[in-house]
Amino acid sequence: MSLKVEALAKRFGDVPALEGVSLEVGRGEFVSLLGRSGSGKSTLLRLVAGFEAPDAGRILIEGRDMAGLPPQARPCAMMFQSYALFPHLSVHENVAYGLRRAGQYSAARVEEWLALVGLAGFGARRPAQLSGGQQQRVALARALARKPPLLLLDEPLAALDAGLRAATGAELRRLQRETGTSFVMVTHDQAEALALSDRIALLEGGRVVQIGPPDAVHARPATRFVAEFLGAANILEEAGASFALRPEQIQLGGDIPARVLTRQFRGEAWMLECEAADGRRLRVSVPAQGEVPAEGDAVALGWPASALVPLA
Amino acid sequence: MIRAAAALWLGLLVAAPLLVVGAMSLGVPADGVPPYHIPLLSGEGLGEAEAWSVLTEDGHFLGALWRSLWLAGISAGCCVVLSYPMALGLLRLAPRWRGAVLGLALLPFCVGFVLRMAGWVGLLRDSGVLNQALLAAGLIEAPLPMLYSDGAMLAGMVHGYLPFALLPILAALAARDRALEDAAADLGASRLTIFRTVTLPVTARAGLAGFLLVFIPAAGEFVIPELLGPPEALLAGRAIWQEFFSSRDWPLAAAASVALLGVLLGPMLLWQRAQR
Repeated sequence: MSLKVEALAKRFGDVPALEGVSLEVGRGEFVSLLGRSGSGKSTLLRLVAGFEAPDAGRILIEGRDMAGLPPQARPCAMMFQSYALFPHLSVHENVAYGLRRAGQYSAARVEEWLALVGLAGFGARRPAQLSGGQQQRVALARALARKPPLLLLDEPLAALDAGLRAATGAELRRLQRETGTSFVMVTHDQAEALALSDRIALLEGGRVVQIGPPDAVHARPATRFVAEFLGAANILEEAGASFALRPEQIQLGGDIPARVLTRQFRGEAWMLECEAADGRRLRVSVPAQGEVPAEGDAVALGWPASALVPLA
Repeated sequence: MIRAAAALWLGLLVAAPLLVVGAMSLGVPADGVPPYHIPLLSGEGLGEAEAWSVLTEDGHFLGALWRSLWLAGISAGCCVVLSYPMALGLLRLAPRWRGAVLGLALLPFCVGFVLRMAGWVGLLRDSGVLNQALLAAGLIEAPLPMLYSDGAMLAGMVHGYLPFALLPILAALAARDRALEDAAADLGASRLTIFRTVTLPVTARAGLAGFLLVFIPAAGEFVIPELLGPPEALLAGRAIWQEFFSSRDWPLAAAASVALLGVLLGPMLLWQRAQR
């Protein structure tokens, strides 16, 4: 086990940030902490890194209890959302910083890391002379240089242009696999979390509300919050209970009469916004290859009972 | 409009006096009012420029200039060294206390400059508070000669000029990116190493600005050495004052003033560059 968090709690003044969070991250696993701002995900990361002390609970990294240890003494490394590159040091010296503190510095080792993140030959530059994507890779190389068993990433892609994000995410995943490092990534972007992680932990109000592989969490959200947050699921209220119903599970040709309000082309599918006769709004995904109803058309909708996922 | 006002201000209050003093330095002392005669203005040519040769050949003035720069350098260094822990301490306070404590730290500067120095005299002289307390406690048998020493002069200089270093350093430390220090800690740097390798370099410009903001006025200071310093310590400011008011050799005093200004131009340009 790379990281084990037990019943962690933290308050800031009167405001609870974390309320009894438990989490396990296996060796070489990529776990995302997904939630809105204020959900406690960044606090969890800062507690693990040692920048804040928990009010209750335990943190174990590689089986060692971290209680009372300052960030310097913890085996994990952190990659900051702002990258926090040292502006007065060259790219080479930024990557060398941790190695020098540990007495492991060699110029060749730094160059190796720069090459691994695709920045060979950039060592003499200052961070301000690099693009956002290049700075992100320097931050990654700097955090990984001492080969920590566990890397904590705080919104590593948030500062990048949308166009760069997908490619950089794939790069992140490649480096994680190549180095065998456990990654714990904080993000508010569900697509990013679904695409990159082995498992996703969803946080709401300082608690973990669901944890599991991306496909499982996506297919069977445990709560209304998860269903809404993971995007686009319809929430149905039936007989006093709530159910999630994914747009791609709804078929045209059922027994519920409805009308198409709007439709949006999403590449591989059309997303129809429909209004049923009883006033319910439903989002329906229709494959792009087939026949697609136009806006204003009357349709009949249906779904198998198994498509309804009960929500807590 | 603003440009014109600035030009007028600079012209009247900076350029004109400088020209007068510059011209004066080329004259020779004479009886009468004003007590000098400028050959250049009466069409008698440049003349001997006697004041300048006295200034450069007489070790008296060069020594005073050198001692002034030395004192200003040490004072500015002490102010910067004191400002860092003070500013870091202030920033550690809860924001609601910070303003009040900063106000307390700067309160003495609301009192007149000469009055504050008189305070040091009262504190340090043989019959002063400090000596009386030490005598009463039986720690010493005779008053320590603390006043009119290099130490008293330096204490007065640091006390007088500290805010010039403290405020820019405080502003830079308040605006610094704390994530950099978190990152350094995460990468294994001790607190001292973080200060040396991150905090100090990222606020170096403000540190340099603070140093120069003390150094430049301190180099011409003459009130503090006069009130607190040893009588034999001749500094540039005091030397100029003496030539103007005691010896009434205005050309020599003017030449010394121009020389001091010339020497300080370097640090002033450096300060301007540090602002960019």
